Amino acid sequence: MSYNYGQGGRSRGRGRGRGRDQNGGGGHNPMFSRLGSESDSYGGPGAAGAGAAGGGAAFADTSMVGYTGGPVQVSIKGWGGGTESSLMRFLDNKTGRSVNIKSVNYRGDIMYVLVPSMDIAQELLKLSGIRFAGGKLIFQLKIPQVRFGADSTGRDMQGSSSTSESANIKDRLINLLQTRADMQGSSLDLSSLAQDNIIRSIGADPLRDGKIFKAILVIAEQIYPGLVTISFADNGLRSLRSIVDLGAHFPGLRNLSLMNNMISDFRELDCLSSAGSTAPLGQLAELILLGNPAREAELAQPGGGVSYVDKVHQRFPTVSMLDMNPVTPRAQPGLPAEVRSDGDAIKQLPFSTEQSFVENQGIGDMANTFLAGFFGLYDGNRSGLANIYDQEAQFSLMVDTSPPTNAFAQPKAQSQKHVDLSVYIRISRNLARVKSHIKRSSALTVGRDAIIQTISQLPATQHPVQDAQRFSFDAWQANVPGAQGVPLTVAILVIHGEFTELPSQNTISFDRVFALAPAQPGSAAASVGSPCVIVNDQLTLRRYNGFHSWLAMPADPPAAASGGLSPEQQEMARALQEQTGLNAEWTLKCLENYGWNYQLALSEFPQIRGTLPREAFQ
Amino acid sequence: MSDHNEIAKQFVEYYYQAFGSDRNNLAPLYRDMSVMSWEGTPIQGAKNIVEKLVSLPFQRVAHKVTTIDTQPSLPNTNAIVIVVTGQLLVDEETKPQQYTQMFQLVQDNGFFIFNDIFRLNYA
Repeated sequence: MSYNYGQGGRSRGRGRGRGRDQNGGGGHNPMFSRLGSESDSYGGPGAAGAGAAGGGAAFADTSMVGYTGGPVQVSIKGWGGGTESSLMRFLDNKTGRSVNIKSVNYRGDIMYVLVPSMDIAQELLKLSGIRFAGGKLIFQLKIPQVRFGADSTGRDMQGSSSTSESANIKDRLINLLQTRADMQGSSLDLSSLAQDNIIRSIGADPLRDGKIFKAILVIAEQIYPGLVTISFADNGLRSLRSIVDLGAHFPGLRNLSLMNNMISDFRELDCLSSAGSTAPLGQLAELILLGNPAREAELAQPGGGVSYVDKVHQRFPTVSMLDMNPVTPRAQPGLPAEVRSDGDAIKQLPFSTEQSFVENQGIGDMANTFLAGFFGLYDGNRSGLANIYDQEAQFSLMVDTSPPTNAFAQPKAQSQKHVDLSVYIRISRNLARVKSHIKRSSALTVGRDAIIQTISQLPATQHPVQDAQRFSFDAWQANVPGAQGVPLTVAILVIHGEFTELPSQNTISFDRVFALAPAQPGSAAASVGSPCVIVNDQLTLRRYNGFHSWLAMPADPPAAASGGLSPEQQEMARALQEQTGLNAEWTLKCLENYGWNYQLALSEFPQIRGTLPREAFQ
Repeated sequence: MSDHNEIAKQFVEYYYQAFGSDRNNLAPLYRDMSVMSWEGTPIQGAKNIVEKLVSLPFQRVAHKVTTIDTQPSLPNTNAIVIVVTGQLLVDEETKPQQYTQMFQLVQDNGFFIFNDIFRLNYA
C-alpha cells in the first residue's frame, strides 16, 4: 500500500497566516502604498524636490504631471576636484541666478542634474569649458536638443511627422518617458502602455510584442539613470522576458510594480533575480504582484501565505514591502548578508543556511497543514491532540541547559525573568546525562493516552505560528525498510522555533522532531481532517536563542544580496562602513556618489555628514 | 531489539569522534539510499554525503554533545530516531555554535544512517 502525503487534509482550517505587520521594513518608505494619495510633491517645476532617495509617493498620477516645459537633464563632467555643494554655489554665481537643481545622480565621474527649464539648461551649456576646482567643466544635454526645443509638449508629439522614422520613434519615446516620469527622474510609471497615444502612434502593441519595453528601458536609462521606482502595471504581461534587462539598466531599482498582469508562474520572476539574471535586482525593497494569477493561486493554497512570501524571497531576498504589506526581508539590500545591521554573531556561520527545506510540494503542504493544526491544539486544547497521536506513539522531552550563545537574541522589550526549566528537567531523558535504565524508560512516554496525560501537565504555551520567520522546518519523506521487507512510509519533520510559556511569560526556544505516518482512512486522525498521525515526537527545550540564524543567508552572498558588487567593492563598503558608522544602504550610496573612489568618499564624508538623515547611520 | 538507548548513545559518540578525526571514516555509516539534509540542502548516497562533509569549509571541528534522545521508529521496523543537540567549534573559532542533528538509523546487518538532518540553528 502506498500513501501520498500530498493529498487530503485540507479541512484543517488554520493556515499559517501572513500577518506579519508588526515587523516593518526597517525604515523603508512604502512607496507604492501611498500611490495617489499625495499630490503636494508635484507642485510644478519650482517646487522643492524631495530627492531621489527621499519619501513621497512612488508614482506620479499621470494626470497630475501637467508640466509642459519639463525639467531637463544635464550631465556635468570634470567637477571631481570639488564637492557637489561647492559646484552648486559656483554655478549659481556664474549664472547669476539660483540654478535650482532638482536632484543629483552620479555615474562614474559624471554628475547628472535635473534643472527646471530649458532656459537654465542652455545657460549651463554656455558655461562648458569653464575652470572649476582644478578641472574643466563640460555640460551636456541628455535629451536631443532639437526635439526638445521644437516641441516640448510630449502629448502633442504624436501627430508630428519626421523624415527619419527611427529617430522619430526614439524622440516619441523620450516624450513618452517625460510624461510618465516624476520631477526628480527617480520614478517612472509605465502602466497601461497599450492605451497610450504615443505608443499607438508608433504602431507598437505592448500586449502582443514586448520589444517596445526593451526600447523604452534603453532610452529610460539614458535620461533617468537614477531611477529607483518603476511600474509595469496593467500591461497584460504574461512573461517578463521583455524587461529582463531591468537590473542591467537600473541596478539601484528599489520599487517595482507588476500589478494587474498575467503572470501565472513564479518562475517568470527568475529572469529578474539571481536565479536567471547576471544583473539581478539586488536592491529591490518593494514589489507588487497584486492581480497576477500566480499570486492569487498561491494564496488560495493551504499555507499559501507563507509559501507566497517564501517564493518571492527566494528570488528577491531584500524585499521588505510586498503588495503594500510589510514583510521581513531575508537580506539587507546592497551588502552581503553577513554585514547585516542586526548583529555581528551571524558572520561566523561557516555554511549557508536556508529558512526551510521541504523535499517536495506535497510534503510541504502536509507539513504546513499538520503544524498549524498541531500547534493550534497544543496551545489551545492539548487533549484534542489525542486523535492525532498514533495509538502506539512515543513522546519524550529533553532540556538543553547550555547557555544561549546569542546574546542579542533576547526578546525585545521583555527582560526574561529567571527561566525555570526544572519542570521540564524532571522528565528530561537526555541520554547524555541520564544513565539510569529506569529513568530512561520511565521518561519515554508510550501510547496515546499516556502522551496526552504527560503533555497536559506541561505549562501552557503560545506558539507564534502567525509569524513564520520565527520557525524553520525541514521535511522529508522516507520509506523505512520494514521488518517484513515492506517499506513503511514516514514523514520526518524537524522544526526549530520558540514559544511563550504562558504562566511565566518567558520565551523558550525549542526543537521538535516528528515522525508522521499517513492517517489511515476511517481513523480518528482522518475523521478530524489530519493528513497524518504522529508516531514519534521528540521535544528539546532550551533557553531563548532567537531565530536569526535560520533567516536565509544567500548561498552566494555577493551575487544574491550585494547587487553584483565586486570583491573590491565589498571590501570598500565594509571599510567605509566601519570608518563612518553609516548603515549598509547609505554606505553604498556614499560610495556610488563618489564613483567608488574610497579615498574620496572617506575624505568627503565629514562635509556631507551633516546633510544625511539620521536613518543613514547604524 | 537490544537497548535502543545504548545503541543511540554509542552511535552518537562514534559518529562525532569519526567526524572530528577524519570525515572520510563516516562513509561506512551511510548507504546509497541514505539521505542527508545539511542546512536545508538535500544530498543522497554515501559517496555524495561524505564528499559534502569532507568539503565543509573548516579544517578542525569538534562537536560537544549536550543532549541525546532516541525513540524506536515505526512498529514493524528495525529503526530508531535519534535527536542530538550540542555545540560546534570549528578551527580557531572560540565561540561555539549550537546545532541540532536528527538521525534515523535502520538495522540490516548493523545499523546504518538512513536519514540525517543537520541544522545550525542557534548562531
